[in-house]
Amino acid sequence: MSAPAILCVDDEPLILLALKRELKSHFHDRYLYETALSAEEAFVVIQELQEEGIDLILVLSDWLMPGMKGDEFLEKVRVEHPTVRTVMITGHASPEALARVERDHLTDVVLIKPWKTEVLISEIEQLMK
Amino acid sequence: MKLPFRKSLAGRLLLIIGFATVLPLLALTSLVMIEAYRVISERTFTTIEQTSRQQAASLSAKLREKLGMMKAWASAVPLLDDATVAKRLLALDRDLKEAWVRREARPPAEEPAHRRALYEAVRQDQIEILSAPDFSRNEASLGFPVFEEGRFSGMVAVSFSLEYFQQVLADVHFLETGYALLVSHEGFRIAHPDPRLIGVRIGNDVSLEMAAEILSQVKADKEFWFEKIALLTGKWSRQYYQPVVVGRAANPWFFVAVVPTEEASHALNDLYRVVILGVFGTLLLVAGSTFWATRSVVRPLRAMAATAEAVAAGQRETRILKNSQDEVGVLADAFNRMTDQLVQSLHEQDQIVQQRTKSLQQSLFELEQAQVKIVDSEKLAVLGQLMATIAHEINTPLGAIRSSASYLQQSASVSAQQLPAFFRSLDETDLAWYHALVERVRGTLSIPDGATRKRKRVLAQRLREGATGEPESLADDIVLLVPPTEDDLLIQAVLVGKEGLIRRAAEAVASIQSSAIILEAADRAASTVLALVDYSRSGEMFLDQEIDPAKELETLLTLYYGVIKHGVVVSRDYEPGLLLHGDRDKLNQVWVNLINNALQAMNYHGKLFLQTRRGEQCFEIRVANDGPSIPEELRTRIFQPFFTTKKPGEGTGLGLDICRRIVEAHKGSLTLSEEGGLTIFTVRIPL
Repeated sequence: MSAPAILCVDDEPLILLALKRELKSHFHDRYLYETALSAEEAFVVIQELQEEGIDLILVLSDWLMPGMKGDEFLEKVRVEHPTVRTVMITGHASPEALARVERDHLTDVVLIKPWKTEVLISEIEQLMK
Repeated sequence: MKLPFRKSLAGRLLLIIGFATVLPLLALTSLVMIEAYRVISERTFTTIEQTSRQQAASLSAKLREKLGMMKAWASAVPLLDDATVAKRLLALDRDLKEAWVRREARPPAEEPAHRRALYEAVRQDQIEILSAPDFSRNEASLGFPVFEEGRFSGMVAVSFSLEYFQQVLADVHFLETGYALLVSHEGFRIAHPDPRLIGVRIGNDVSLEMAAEILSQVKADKEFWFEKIALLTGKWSRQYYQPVVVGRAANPWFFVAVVPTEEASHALNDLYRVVILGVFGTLLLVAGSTFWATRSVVRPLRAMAATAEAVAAGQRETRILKNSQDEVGVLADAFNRMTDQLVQSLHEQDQIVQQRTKSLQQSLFELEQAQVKIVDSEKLAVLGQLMATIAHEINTPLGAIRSSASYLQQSASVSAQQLPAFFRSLDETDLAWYHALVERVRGTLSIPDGATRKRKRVLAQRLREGATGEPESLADDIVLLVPPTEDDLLIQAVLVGKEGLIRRAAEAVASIQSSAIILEAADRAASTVLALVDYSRSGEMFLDQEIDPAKELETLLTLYYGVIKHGVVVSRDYEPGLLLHGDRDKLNQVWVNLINNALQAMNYHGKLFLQTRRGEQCFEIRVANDGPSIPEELRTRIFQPFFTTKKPGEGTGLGLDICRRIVEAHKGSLTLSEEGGLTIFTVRIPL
């Protein structure tokens, strides 16, 4: 039986590489670590995971991406997969957008770039309890 | 306002009254004149004729009076002696010079010729006879036959002075120089204004035939007159003859009225003049009164019109001077009241307008304030957006840097503990392999795609089957270290206990990669900052350089030679000798951006169109391509800063915004249009 998966979505490859490395060095084989460069690719990955019977438990997504924006993407994920927890990572979010996130409870956690590793890890551990 | 006379009220009034008055007056006058001429011309002569008839009748009466006395006494002659009769007759009339009785049988010894002629006439005709005048005695005699027993026995006669007749006629005048005379039937002048002519015969006898004619005419109540030149005045005169008849005498005297024809017509002319004067006087009076009436009505109306125009022109204090109490005065009063009210109302209107203007100005001010706020907020929004983008562009590499640094920090401490023991455990072969694995990958960064993910899962499954501790992690490491062709080799190595070597190699690679990520991210952040600095510096311009845009475009095209030599056809339409002034470097930035955009839009395959031309007011430089057209909804947005359709890393989205700013700094414009399948960017710079 395979480990549950964590999916990282960002249009910046550097972020994906670094984030994955960071997560992996902490959680090792507790999870599978998947990456996608856009919301569109993310849905492909999610589809693949489902086909292979791998449980998706967490999605971390950037806010500002070409194509579908992070908040919209996360909302869609939550609608289609209610058990998946979500983390939004943003370089900058407008106060209105953050207020909307807060009000509509669009995501479980919002992280601001550049994030601190201990905060990232503790938030994820909180969510995974 | 000046009205033509015919259109003015005064003119029309004058015309109407004039026509209404003058025409009938003229017609009437003509009729009156004709009638007056006819009547008066008749009257003049008729009056004279009547006067002369009366005069003649009066003279006749005088003679008949004497005749009557003689008639009465003639019957007494047979009874009384002649002297008594004569004495009684003489006593009856003071005019009589003498009275006598002449007996047939006793002719007097000596008597004047005219008396003897009278007696002969009376005896012959046996009727009363008026004698021819005796101018030497200035007398005439009247004889009346006396009959005794049916036989003529003599006559009663009286002699009377002609003085009476002469006196009476001297007082008779007709018109100015007209006069009267008395003529005996023999044609002697008995009475005449000129005493020298008394006793002188007139030119022709008043013949018996003529006398008979005159008498018959008079009896028929008709005039008898003829015209001849009067002896006294030498003027053509109408001479009216009236018989002075005594009894049945066949030889009457004639009263002659001499009326100068000219004077009669003079009189008529005078009358005519009076009538003409009267008519013209009336006309003048009518005209004058009409003028006055018109003036008295029209003048105040004109004044009112002038005042109204003055008020209309803004002289609100102007009023009509009222100078009459009539309707015009009332109208003037009403007009003044109306003007007062109008001015009052205008004043109120002014105040309302002022208030409204004030409130409108206030509203405008508020609107402008609101607009400023909106513009400010728009600026803030753009700024906010800009800041968000900048924050994202910088925080993203910072995130990668921090994440990688954090990893390095952690892995370094782990490595420091583990690596010495690890290296000691390696033999020469393993160490060489370790180095080979690490060296082969080093800082190469790659993002897993679908195939890689598949490969990883297969690897993890195979490793799980081989009961490896952390198959997922190990699969990840293998994917990181070697190409798919060496997967079997790595699995074999794991199975022979080389898992630690693989993991340490992967950790080393991860550290090197993290460093690479940090370097790359730092470069990314630096380039963003550099772009911002460039962007913010775009205001400094040197606009006085002379530029041949065609030449610049051609120079820039050489930079693109490598990418356009395959698949791009460049079409040029340059207007020769075109020179504009501006900042060469900045404008080159514009051309580069436009050419770059065009090439990217057609994906380096298609037609690039370059044009320079001199328009009516500006230079026009066009860069066009036949690539896919820009969707309508994006056309207005493409000039916004940070708008881009390019993939991440290909552009900042500032290009067209910078271009627009540069062109606007040259007081020009940058526009996008689509025509004939071409996407055209046009730069216009004023001549």
